[in-house]
Amino acid sequence: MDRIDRAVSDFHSMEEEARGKGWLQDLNPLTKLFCTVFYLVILLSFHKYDLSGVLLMGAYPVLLFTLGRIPVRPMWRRMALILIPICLVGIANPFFDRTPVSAGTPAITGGMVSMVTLLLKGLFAVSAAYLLMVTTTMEDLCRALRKLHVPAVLVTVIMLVHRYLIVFLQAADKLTDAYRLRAPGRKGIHFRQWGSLAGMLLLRSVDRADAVYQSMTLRGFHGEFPSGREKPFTRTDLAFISITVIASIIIRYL
Amino acid sequence: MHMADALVSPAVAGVMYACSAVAAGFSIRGLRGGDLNRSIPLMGVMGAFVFAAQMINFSIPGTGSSGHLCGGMLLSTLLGPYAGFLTMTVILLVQCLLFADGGLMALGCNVWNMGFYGCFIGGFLIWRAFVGKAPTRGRIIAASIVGSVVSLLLGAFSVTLETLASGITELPFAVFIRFMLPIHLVIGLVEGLITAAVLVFIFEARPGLLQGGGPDGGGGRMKAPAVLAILAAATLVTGGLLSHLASSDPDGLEWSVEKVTGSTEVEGGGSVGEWAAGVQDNTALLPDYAFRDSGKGTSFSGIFGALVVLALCFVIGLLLRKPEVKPETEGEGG
Amino acid sequence: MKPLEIDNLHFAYPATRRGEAPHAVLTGISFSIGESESVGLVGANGAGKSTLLKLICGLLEPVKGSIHVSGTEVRKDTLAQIRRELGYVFQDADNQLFTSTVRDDVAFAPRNYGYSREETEEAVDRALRAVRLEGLEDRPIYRLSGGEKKLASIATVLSVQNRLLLLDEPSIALDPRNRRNLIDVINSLSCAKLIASHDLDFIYDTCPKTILLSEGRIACMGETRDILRDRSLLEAGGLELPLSFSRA
Repeated sequence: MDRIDRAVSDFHSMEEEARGKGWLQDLNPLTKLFCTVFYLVILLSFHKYDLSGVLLMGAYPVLLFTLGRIPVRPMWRRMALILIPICLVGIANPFFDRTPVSAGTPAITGGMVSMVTLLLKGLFAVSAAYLLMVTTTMEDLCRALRKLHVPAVLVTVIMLVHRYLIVFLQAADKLTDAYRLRAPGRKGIHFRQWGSLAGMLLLRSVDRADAVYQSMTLRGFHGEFPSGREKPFTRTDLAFISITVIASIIIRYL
Repeated sequence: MHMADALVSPAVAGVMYACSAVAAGFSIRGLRGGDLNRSIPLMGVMGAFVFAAQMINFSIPGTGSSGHLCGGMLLSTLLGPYAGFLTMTVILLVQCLLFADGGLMALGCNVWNMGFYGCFIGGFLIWRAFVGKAPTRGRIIAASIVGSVVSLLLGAFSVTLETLASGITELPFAVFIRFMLPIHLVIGLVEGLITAAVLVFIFEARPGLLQGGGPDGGGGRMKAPAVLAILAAATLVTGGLLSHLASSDPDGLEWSVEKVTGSTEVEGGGSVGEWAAGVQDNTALLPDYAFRDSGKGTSFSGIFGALVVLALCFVIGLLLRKPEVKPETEGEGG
Repeated sequence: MKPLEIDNLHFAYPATRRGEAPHAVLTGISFSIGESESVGLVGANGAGKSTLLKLICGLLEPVKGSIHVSGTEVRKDTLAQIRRELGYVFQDADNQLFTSTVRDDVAFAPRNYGYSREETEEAVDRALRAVRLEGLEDRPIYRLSGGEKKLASIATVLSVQNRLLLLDEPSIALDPRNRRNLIDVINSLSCAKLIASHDLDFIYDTCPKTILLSEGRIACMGETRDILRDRSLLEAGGLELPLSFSRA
């Protein structure tokens, strides 16, 4: 199915970017995680009428995309995913909030402004999260999470889901392709096969889980994946954090 | 039902992160009683399965559209509510990070809205009520449908409250809810049918998987006080948010806290003071505050200036970036 | 102490339905493998090959009999020690390779066993060199080809010094070139090996000695060239003459 193919290709392209060479990729993952979260908190705290403030927050993604040579096109598709719910929520604003907000300009109501700030916040928030993941491998991110004392159970499961995601996406792809070849013209799985198709995949996953457990145990697994090479914390990291924090605070409070 | 970051304020995001973290901590503790090492690969691999299964289109007969599997109930039924909830948490995190399905700040909300209700309410309480230890085809179908519908309705309700409490939308509560609930009722029915189909298949192929065979004993060790604690937390959150909507007067908030817990202090994590402060920060973003700095934020010159700054950032970025590194030619592979 | 000694081993799966008898899988298995010896384990589907391998590394418990790895009996309390002496290579490489990159997977066992950073790096380099995958340390698993995955999965068990290597259907799904490469790699390893396979030509190329399992018992044990030329013996065990001999 198209959705699965797209997911596989998105997965591959993000992985390739994250493992590529670049100053953003070389930054310590904790740096990027902290800056992303800080940026998001500040971004989301802007008042709904503060359009210029929210616009200025766009400097973070704009600078990182250009300085880091990060391809933007994959990001637009992600944006499309969240546009619909945001529009549905925001579209009511111009109708319900007709408070005029600016003297000296054409009649702009609070509702219009808040709808635009909502869309911009959505765009910048998705960009920030995308920039984090397109420059950080999952194993580096997990190391950062462990440093933040996120429990080993959760972090190990994240790594396993990430590892086996592609295996199951490909298995689901093959299953649904095989189904489509035998049921041409059908858009999705017919309800008579709902149980067996998903059920077979589920049983295979249970068997695989058993085998993976055996494999892990045979090689000394005792509750978490031992950590490997860590990226050092350099002056670039310090500069990145300082600039992000200071600029965000200035934009927010001045 | 995945919420984007733009739909939550930092305060609401923080509160929901806290609730989800409490539920996750609870679940990890619950797992320790069983075989934790064994449950880790099970959660990982099953998580990947549910992730992939969510992408399969299940066509709904008689309509032209398709439904999807959510997986919360499925995971909880097969792995137990603790392992199921942790797996859902990871699935939602990976969806958010890799596919922008849901925001990073909104993750706490999404974990609660989809993971908590699906695993603890639908996959545990309702499953137990209908199926107990004696599953039959009919009971499995009934439990799946009722569990999915209830979890989805609760989730939709929470999404509405969280969005409204964040001051994001001007939609009145009644309109919002009248829009959300019927849609999620239908989605819940479809999901329930898909979940039922899969669980019936498993029941007939490998019944042992369904009978509390999960690594945490299918939540068998989950005791009534634990269930009550979770329900109390859920009530506290939804009650607190409701009361906040009813009145932005902090007294109203403390009133609702007192009513629920019987005291003015919340035991365990976080004092009422911290929580109320968080809500009050949130209150600052409500329409009452609307005119505080609307002049600067929405003036034409302000907006124009911001756009100029953005354009400058773009140009500076292009000028300052390092020259492109040509990819190294790799040895044979693939 | 020999790397492997098995004495009168019996194993049965418990009954799945009430009133049924346990399903006997292995009966009266006895053999040993000497230092650096390479032994093939052949038999039809359901003969008990994979079950035997799992019993040896303690993933299953025998009903009767004993297994000794490097002189230590395989029991619940000795599992950790036993597993440091042997390596098990799963049939499906995706079950063996569960981390993100080749390096992390090959380093998994050394790191768990407390090797220092330098020792781990050395072990990883050595293991990858042994399977001819130098340079692929930082390759993510999903980008490996089928042949590379198989070799990487062998590397994951070579990174700690094993006396005994257990391989379950190693040549499955490999194209001729990768299969030949695998044969060369396996022949270059100095540890004792027990290789379960349907690929009789593969067994002929890697194992001087072979055990033929049939319905849970050892039907025959001896020189590979003798067993694999005996058409009637093979057919009785549910197999056929390997291609190398069937043209003769």
